[in-house]
Amino acid sequence: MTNEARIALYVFDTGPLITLAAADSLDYLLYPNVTVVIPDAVFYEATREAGKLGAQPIIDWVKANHAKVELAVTNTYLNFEAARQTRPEARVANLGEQAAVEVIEEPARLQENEVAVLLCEETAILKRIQVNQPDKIVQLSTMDFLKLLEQERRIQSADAVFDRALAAGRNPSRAEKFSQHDPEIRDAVRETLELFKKRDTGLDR
Amino acid sequence: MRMTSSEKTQLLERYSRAEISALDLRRALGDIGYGDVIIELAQRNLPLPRASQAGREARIARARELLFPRVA
Repeated sequence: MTNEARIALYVFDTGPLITLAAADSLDYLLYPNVTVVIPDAVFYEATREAGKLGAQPIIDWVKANHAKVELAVTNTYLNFEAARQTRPEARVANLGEQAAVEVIEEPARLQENEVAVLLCEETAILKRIQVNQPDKIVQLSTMDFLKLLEQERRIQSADAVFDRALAAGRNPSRAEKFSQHDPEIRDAVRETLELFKKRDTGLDR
Repeated sequence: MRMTSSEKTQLLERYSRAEISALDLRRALGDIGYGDVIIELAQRNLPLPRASQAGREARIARARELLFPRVA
């Protein structure tokens, strides 16, 4: 299962995205040169609210790397969007988590020689996943992933990435800047999700 | 009941020591986002949690082999 395996890196919750965005290191996700899969609701949760650290960089990075990043469309998120049409204040507990589980359990995923590396901070989510071959899934925390890149000498220091994320969190002007532009961010999130939906359904051709 | 500043700091300290999960922390603090968690930690000079690597070497090694396969 090594050389012939088809690997994808699934970003399973918002933690890795926001930490790497805050540290200005989202490109690290591309270093393994495998498809990066982000469930739509995880993308939404990482970018939806005012003051969200990393929101705009995540949107920009996903758009800039649309050939290497898949925003996986889920019924969980589509149903949530539909509910918000009638009730804008609608919220769903664990929306991103539900969408992530839906994505990995899709029958078209993990076929034959496909293997998933799941990047997430919440290990509890793994207990909810039901797939036929659990050995096809390897779960890593953000720090595990960074340590791996460090071992590969692709980055100098995993700890320095965490330190940069915290340094960004200490800069209140950055967070305030995001909160002022929240409507723009909401529009950008919607546009990005629409772009990927069209691409997946072939409507952009 | 509203959480005091001291209780909030204690929770963040526990998260920083990897004693509770991010999800538990976020729920306890009113469903805040992960970006807010980073900001709250930073304001208190608390590090992001670094879970012990003990017992995780095998999975990191497997992921490394998958993500960066050696050319024979």
